[in-house]
Amino acid sequence: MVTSDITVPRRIYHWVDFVSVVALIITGWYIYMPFSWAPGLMGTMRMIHFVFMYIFTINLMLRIYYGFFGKTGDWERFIKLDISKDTIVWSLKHYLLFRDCPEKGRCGVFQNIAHVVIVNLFFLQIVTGFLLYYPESRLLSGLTYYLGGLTMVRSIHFFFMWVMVCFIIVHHYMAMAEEFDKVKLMFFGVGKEKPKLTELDVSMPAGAKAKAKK
Amino acid sequence: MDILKELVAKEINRRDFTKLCAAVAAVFGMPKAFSKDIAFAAENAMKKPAVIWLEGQDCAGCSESLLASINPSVAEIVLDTLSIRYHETIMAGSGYVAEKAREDTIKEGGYVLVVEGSIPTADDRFCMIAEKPFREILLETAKNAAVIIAVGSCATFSGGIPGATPSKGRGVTHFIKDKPVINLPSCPLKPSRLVATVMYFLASGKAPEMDKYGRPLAFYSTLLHENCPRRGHFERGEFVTDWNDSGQREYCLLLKGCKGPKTYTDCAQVWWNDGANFCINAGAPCSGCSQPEFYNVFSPLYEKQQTFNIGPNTTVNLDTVGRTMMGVAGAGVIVHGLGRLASKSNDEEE
Ligand code: HEM
Ligand code: SF4
Ligand code: SF4
Repeated sequence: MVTSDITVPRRIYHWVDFVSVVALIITGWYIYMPFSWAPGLMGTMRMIHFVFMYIFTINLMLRIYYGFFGKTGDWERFIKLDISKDTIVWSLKHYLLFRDCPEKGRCGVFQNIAHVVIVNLFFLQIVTGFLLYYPESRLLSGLTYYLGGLTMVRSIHFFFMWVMVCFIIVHHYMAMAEEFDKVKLMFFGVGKEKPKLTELDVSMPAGAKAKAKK
Repeated sequence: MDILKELVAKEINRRDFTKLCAAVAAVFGMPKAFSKDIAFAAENAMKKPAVIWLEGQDCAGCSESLLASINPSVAEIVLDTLSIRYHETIMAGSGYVAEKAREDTIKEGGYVLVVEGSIPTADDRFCMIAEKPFREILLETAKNAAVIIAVGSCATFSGGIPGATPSKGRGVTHFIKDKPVINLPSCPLKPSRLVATVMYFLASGKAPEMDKYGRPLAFYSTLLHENCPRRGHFERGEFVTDWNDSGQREYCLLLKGCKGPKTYTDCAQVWWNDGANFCINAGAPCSGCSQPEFYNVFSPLYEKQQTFNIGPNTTVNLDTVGRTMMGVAGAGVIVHGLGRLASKSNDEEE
């Protein structure tokens, strides 16, 4: 049987992450700009935001643990970029002019960048979120000050929401258009022939790929 | 105690006085025994420690606020008993005599320096007193001061309202970096804060414990939004949207630009003018006057906003930025999808 690198834990992570980010965006948006035509929601919306912020945080921590000690050991994906003149030119041609990729799996510079950015953004979102959660904490006030005060922390948290909205739009479009097999794998665990991640995953850095191939 | 005679003349009894001293001790979280020191401080104040009160680019509102405290208050006692050597609004002397008084006091040293109003950074000529730039007056007066207290939003941080003018007014800490400055921001100064800070300083000889912005923790460690009387309406999602709708009178002011969620102040616990009222209770959204972001970053006052401060007088609205980003991403995806379809059908034709 051909096994896939998109293992069950990774799929569970992706589902939980997807649901909680969507919930956090909807509730966060409401917290920022509550509509007055449907009163009575703020308490509930904040409650949902706080429940999902824990789910989201724990989920990410588990994923990072899995990245280091799990079966796929793909932690490099969180920080490593496969950028060179070649890959950038190939990716541009591939995405803008719809050329075929000269070297399989190395035309995903933009997906690659987006992944690295988004993981770190999640992390910063958690940090700013907890600063907002404990606004009167003496312990955390130093970090809040360093980031430019509570107003700035709120703005950063809010701005990242927009970045995430954009990420969700672009990431899912690209995934559906370029790697539909992978999408099916990620969400439903079904694929035509359960291909290996290394062949599918255009955004995986070379080092991790070599490791996974072994 | 000498001070009692004085107080009797003002019709305050010993008990009231002890209560006031205990109150001052309490706001700084000092043990009750310390209130005796506060009493001594008040008595010491009879020996008239000197005060120099400088006014830069201001409206004298802070002075007014202090002088208008309801009598007879600690404020009045301290004001009457401190020897105010120089105060542009209330001193009788003028011209050469007044400046001489300031210079003599500087020579004596060990005085309390209170600064009200901002200092121009764009050009010294925006604020000249006795043909001298205010900036120089401040630096020269600060040198021998025992303690420097910057009062009101103009004298602190980015200069409050004058900070938003072409004079680019800035607070005291912008100029004095080698000495601790106690910041008491708010527009105007809250009298009880100045009085308590002066009393504390006279009693303990040092500045009270302060936060990263040099504001005494006693007044600026709680978030207004966490203690607001309208918080229940916030949680229930009831917001004022129409000033004319009397049904909304008690509702949360968030959508009318309330800065309570970003403002550290004790306004909700310690009301203004000896407990008369405060902005939010009176129906006005908090304008965040005790924050460094006031006035630039927090304007417009009556609108909810989320901004990045990208320059001293420039902010970008993140809502606009975000919506634009989302629009570009969405449009990009659609165009790209169409292009993809077109190129696919081209391939097929070939
Ligand atoms: C990952 C996606 C997330 C998004 C898109 C998001 C979005 C938002 C937005 C837009 C706001 C409103 C900000 C404002 O206008 O003041 C907000 C508030 C908040 N968020 Fe998040 N957030 C996310 C994750 C988190 C996490 C992980 C935490 C905690 C660790 C968190 C904690 C909070 C808190 C405490 C508030 C303040 C609530 C209030 O002011 O009543 N958020 N969030
Ligand atoms: S009025 Fe302002 S401080 Fe009070 S609950 Fe509403 S937003 Fe918070
Ligand atoms: S409620 Fe806000 S605007 Fe009013 S005095 Fe307090 S900090 Fe200033």
